[in-house]
Amino acid sequence: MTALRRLAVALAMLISFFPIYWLVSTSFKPHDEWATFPPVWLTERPTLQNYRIVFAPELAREVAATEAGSLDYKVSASAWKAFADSAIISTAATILSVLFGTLAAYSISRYRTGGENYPFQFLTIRMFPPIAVVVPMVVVFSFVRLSDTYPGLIIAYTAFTLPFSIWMIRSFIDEVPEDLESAAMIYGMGPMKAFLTVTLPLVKGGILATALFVFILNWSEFLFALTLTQGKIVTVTVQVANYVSASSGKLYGVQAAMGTVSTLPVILFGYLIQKHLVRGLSFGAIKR
Amino acid sequence: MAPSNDNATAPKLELREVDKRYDRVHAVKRLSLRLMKGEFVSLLGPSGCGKSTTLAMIAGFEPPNSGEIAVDGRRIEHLPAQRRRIGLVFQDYAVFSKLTVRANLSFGLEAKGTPRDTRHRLVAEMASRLELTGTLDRRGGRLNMSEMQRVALGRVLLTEPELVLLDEPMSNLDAALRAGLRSELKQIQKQLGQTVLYVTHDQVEAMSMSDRIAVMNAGELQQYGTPDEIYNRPRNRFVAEFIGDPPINLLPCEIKTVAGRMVADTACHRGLVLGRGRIDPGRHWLAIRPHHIVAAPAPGVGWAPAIVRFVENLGAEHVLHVEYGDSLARVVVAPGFAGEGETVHLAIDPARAHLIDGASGDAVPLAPAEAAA
Amino acid sequence: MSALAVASLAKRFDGVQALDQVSLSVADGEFFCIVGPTNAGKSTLLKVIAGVHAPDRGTIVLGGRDVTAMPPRARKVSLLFQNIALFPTMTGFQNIAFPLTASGIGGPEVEHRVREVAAMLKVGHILDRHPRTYSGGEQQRVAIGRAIVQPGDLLMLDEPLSNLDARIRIALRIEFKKLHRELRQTILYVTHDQVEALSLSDRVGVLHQGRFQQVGTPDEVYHRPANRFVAEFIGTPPMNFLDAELAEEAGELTLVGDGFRLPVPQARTLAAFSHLPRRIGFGVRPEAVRVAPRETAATPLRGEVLWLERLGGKTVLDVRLGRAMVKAVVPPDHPVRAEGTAWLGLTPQAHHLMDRDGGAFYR
Repeated sequence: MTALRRLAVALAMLISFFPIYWLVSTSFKPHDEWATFPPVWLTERPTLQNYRIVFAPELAREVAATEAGSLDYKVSASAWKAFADSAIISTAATILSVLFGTLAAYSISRYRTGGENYPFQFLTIRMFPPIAVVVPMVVVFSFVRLSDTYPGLIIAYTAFTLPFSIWMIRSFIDEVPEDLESAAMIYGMGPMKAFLTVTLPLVKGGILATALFVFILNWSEFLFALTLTQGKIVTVTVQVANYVSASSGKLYGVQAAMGTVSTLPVILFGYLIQKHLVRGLSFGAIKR
Repeated sequence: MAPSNDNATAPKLELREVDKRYDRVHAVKRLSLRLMKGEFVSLLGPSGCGKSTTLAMIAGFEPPNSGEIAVDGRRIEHLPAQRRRIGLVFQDYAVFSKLTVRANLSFGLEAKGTPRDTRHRLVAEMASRLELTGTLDRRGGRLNMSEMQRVALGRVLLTEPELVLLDEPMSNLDAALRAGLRSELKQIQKQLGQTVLYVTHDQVEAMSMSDRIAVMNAGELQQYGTPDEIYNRPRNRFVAEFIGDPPINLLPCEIKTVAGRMVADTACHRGLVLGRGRIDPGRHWLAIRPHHIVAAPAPGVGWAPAIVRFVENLGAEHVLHVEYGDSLARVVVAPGFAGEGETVHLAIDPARAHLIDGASGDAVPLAPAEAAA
Repeated sequence: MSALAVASLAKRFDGVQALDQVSLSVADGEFFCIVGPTNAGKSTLLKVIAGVHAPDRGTIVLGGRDVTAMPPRARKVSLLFQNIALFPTMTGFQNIAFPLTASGIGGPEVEHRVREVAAMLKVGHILDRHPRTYSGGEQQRVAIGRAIVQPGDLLMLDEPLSNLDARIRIALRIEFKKLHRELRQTILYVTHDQVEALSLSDRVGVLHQGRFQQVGTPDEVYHRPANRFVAEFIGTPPMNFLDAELAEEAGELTLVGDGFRLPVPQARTLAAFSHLPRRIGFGVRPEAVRVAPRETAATPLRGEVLWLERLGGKTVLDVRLGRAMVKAVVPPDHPVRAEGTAWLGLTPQAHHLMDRDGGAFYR
């Protein structure tokens, strides 16, 4: 029984970690090992060239000139700009989504705002495949001159993640008994202050978990990032897609290097809030 | 002897030295208990006393760490819950509110795979027995509590269990409802001769329905006996205090032995002759029920005056909380006997008092005083 | 002056009329119990008074101030919630101090008052811990501390004992009476347990289906219930009800029923005497039923004991009398100690004559 269970766990681990292993290992491979058969599992000639191409294209060109069979590639801009753009857009959109989400969730949970079906109406927004609305959105965005701007992508991302935020946060707020806020109000607080001092600390973990979830969605979004920009703004995902070469097709090693670096912020964010992710929703003060 | 003979005399349910530990909690400590066929036994104790764990071990939801559980002399602790032939009635009865009474009743039979025709016949029989025939097509959510109890019982009884366990079925109900449900449950149990183990923290339920009561505290069996024994001959301080409403008085007392008889002095009464027995001299407890302290408006010989601090009006009777030494004693009187702040005079009938060892907390057996003379 | 005056309060919730024309007046310093079954509207009434819910109609006057439109914090009331509702992220100290700190009091005064209340409730040693580490009784006492640290015009307690074991419930009951004596505060106490209501309060209001069925002293609601609901709800076991026909025998009003013929001596004292119907009901308290093992002048009615419920301090008998069932309460050492024939005696009281259909007692 336990042996079987261990085997199952090992298999699950293997399946989930293999892509990450492949990503990291490819990012250190020289270009002739990127797509060979049989595959090179662990390169014997590790190189930082892929990372140089990502962060220091000029330096990479110099290094490449000394080597045989250098690559030609289209993107010459450093990826720093892409990381900055993604960071600005994802962070801002996450904050807005969680902020509006919390307020909306609170009013739905406590005041039944919008009636019984309102939360479900929100969810239907999510059921729309983004690809179905992307063309009208491009048209509308260029018309209102939001195309290829920070506010443009921030608004788009906030709108599309808001249903998630509302639903997740609402379920956390629902778990906090209304009587706690009533008590705070009877003993001297207004509704807003009661929410901030009593309810918010209890749902903090849930809000942070929601924020992480929304941040990951934003950070890895590709469709809008591609269609609602024309080159002034480049997000991480678009930058990855740009690493192609006329002669060699996709630059897998460079993409892998960029991919490896772009997972780091998510891991860092997750690590920073991990103690809140454990749902320390307290009860014990509440008889249920 | 043929083994079948053994089975006939074996208890319906027997626990032998059953022990259960969780990480830090010793939930049940070497519990031994026997239920004879057709007996109604209550497992009574406060929350956390181990009664629910015991029930879970009998039902098969929790394995004991050691000890044996036997039904009709056959060990069952290794069997999974569904093969133990033990019925369980849940808290609040857990009748499915969306299903009809008929569907609720046939639920267990369906799970067992009983054929449709048999199922119909058995459900109809059980419904008529429990006077549910008229409600068969009603949904569970539209039943009153009495019907709900009968549906829950019927659902379990239809699986023909050797033993029915009830897990605090009435604990969330209004007091007014419970009295009716108690007599109904007891009558169904008696009529069917069903063996029942009833878990509760409510002494009234235990007292009123049980043939025997097992009082538990902190994982240990405190006393196992008839309601009369539990009430009138508590074995220790815990049982004495747990049983009885209003609760028993524990009066600190000094014990001396005079001519072979033990004599108690309390804060207000001197020279109460208790009878023969053995105890170390010194500080002990005199336990006496509030019904057994007699109050009079005027003094008499041996009567002690006391000031009434609070009066609890229970309708049919009043409970006086009177100053007795440093603490308060409870005395039951007729309505209107005395008001707060008034002085009453108290007498204690030593024959109704229990002596509890101040060190061990155990009740001291007493022989009548006359026997010494 | 009354501490609390509620007039014609109504509140609908999710299609249910939780409160329907509730009026109530509680005197200064009074201990008033609202008792009723689950869903009678008791908690709703407290929350409307506290200002957590707004009433649909009606007014609430607290200590002479009309507070109907005021926010909760301006009403100067305390509420002990049924589910305790201690703030889980705060320590016991912070919980008790909450009403003080929330209204801007700070410094040594908070420390002093919290310690004082904690000492009275014997929770001084657990103030540094968080509520999740408390036992049920400790949570209860800290919650009481929070409710009384800043005395307002009214202290409301919502089923404070209902989550506790039966044993602790009995022991803690009297604590509320002591608390009342020490605080001398007006208390509104909600419970579904009629024993708590009778034993604690100066006056009792029996709430059912959003209306007060009767308001009176414990003795009044017990001995002179207004209607069948009150008579059944107050007292365990509940009052017995028998159907009878009224007849005039030798100038005295007599109740004739299945298996009995009973005079009602003071029937003429009733205001409703002249229009009593022929078909009538009457109630008898179980402890007023006389029981004997053989026929006597005081126990002339033959009955059959179907079940004895021995409760230790008393025994309840279920007796069949004609076609009716009668419960009788006798002492544990009573000579009738087994199922079988027993003889009963009943003395109907004039104020226990009842309208059989409407359920109201005649006055």
